[in-house]
Amino acid sequence: MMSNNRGCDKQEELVSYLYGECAPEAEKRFETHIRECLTCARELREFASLRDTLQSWEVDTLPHIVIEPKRTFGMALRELFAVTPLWAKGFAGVAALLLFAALLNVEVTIGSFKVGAHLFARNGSTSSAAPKTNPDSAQSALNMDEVNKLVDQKVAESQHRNAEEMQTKLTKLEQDIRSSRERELNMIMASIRQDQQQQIRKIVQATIAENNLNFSNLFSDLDSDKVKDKDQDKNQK
Amino acid sequence: MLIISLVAEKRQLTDDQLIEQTLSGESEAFGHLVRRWERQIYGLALRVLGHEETARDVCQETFLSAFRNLSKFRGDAQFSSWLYRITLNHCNTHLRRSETKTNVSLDEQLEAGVPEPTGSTELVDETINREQMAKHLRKALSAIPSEMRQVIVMKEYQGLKFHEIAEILNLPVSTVKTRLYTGLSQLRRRLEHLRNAG
Repeated sequence: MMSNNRGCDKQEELVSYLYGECAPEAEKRFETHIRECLTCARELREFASLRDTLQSWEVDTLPHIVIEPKRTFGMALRELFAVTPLWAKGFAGVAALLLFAALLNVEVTIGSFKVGAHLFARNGSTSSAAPKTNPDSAQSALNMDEVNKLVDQKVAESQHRNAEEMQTKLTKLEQDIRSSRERELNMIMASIRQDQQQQIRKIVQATIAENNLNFSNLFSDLDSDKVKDKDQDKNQK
Repeated sequence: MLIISLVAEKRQLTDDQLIEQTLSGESEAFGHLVRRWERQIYGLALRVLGHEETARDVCQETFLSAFRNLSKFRGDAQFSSWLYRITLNHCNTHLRRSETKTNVSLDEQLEAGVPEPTGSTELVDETINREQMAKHLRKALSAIPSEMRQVIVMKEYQGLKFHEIAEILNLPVSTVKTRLYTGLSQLRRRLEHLRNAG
């Protein structure tokens, strides 16, 4: 039931009666009701008048909708199928079957009659459709086992060759790294030794200066050591 | 001659038969469905939206949506009900997008859309009265809430039964009747107000 502030709750019945959608019994009940209910009677009159007003809005124009759907391949195919005559459909069907059979390398034998279609050469067998092959050439042809063996052999040779090349490269790389490290170590050692000699010389000079001592032989010894070191570096290089 | 007989044949086909033909690849069958229903769809869109150009757009969108989703149409409801539902969905989208714009455009249309009366004095008076009434009606109708306007339009102009409107809007029949009653009451009050003001 509708909420009501008009003193009567027959709004649903009113609109049903207004649009002629009451069942016969409900229609009679409502007609009895509006003889007593002034609110419903007045609203019914007003709504009927309003309906006349509503009819004054006519739509004369048309939108002229044009729907141009994008034709899919499937739609085009279906349309083509619809207009194709029966004999053409049969012909197309047989052609499709033959193509399918050819893809699968199918061969059909009915009694002595053989029919087959091949897109690819068949292994180890001949067909009536294909030309007969020379027995000598068939014997000379490699069978699948021999081919497999040959392929395995070639693959093994290639793997062995690759392994050898890799081993050679690794050995050479190891030698290069080792010699490079030795050079670097020698250079570092020489540098450290030079630093140490300079420090010793400074200490000795400072000591001599402090005590007024004369150790001229000491410098000649140190110089001779330096010369030896240089010679050793040259040899190593 | 052959074309005329083919067109006549299509016209005699039911909606379901035309749908079946469309789904089997005869896209021109859908064209017949469009011709059959475009006036109703356009009328619904125009009266709900109150704007001719937008109504035309909605009409176009409705038939495009229908074509794209035709395979989803199950056939347990009428094709027209399904179309009306799609139309109202598009109308609601447009109303949500530009409600104020619609009202402004309607006002502009109302100002510009009254044709110059021609003919005898009585006919002129009648034309003016009719146009004035239609103008007030469009304004009053556009001012009431859209859910009530939709029910009034479907009942009054599309001539649908209460249970059909309920099915389209997915509402109970009693709610449809309530909306119709409330909508008519509001429309009557607004029309009275406009007449008194004009």
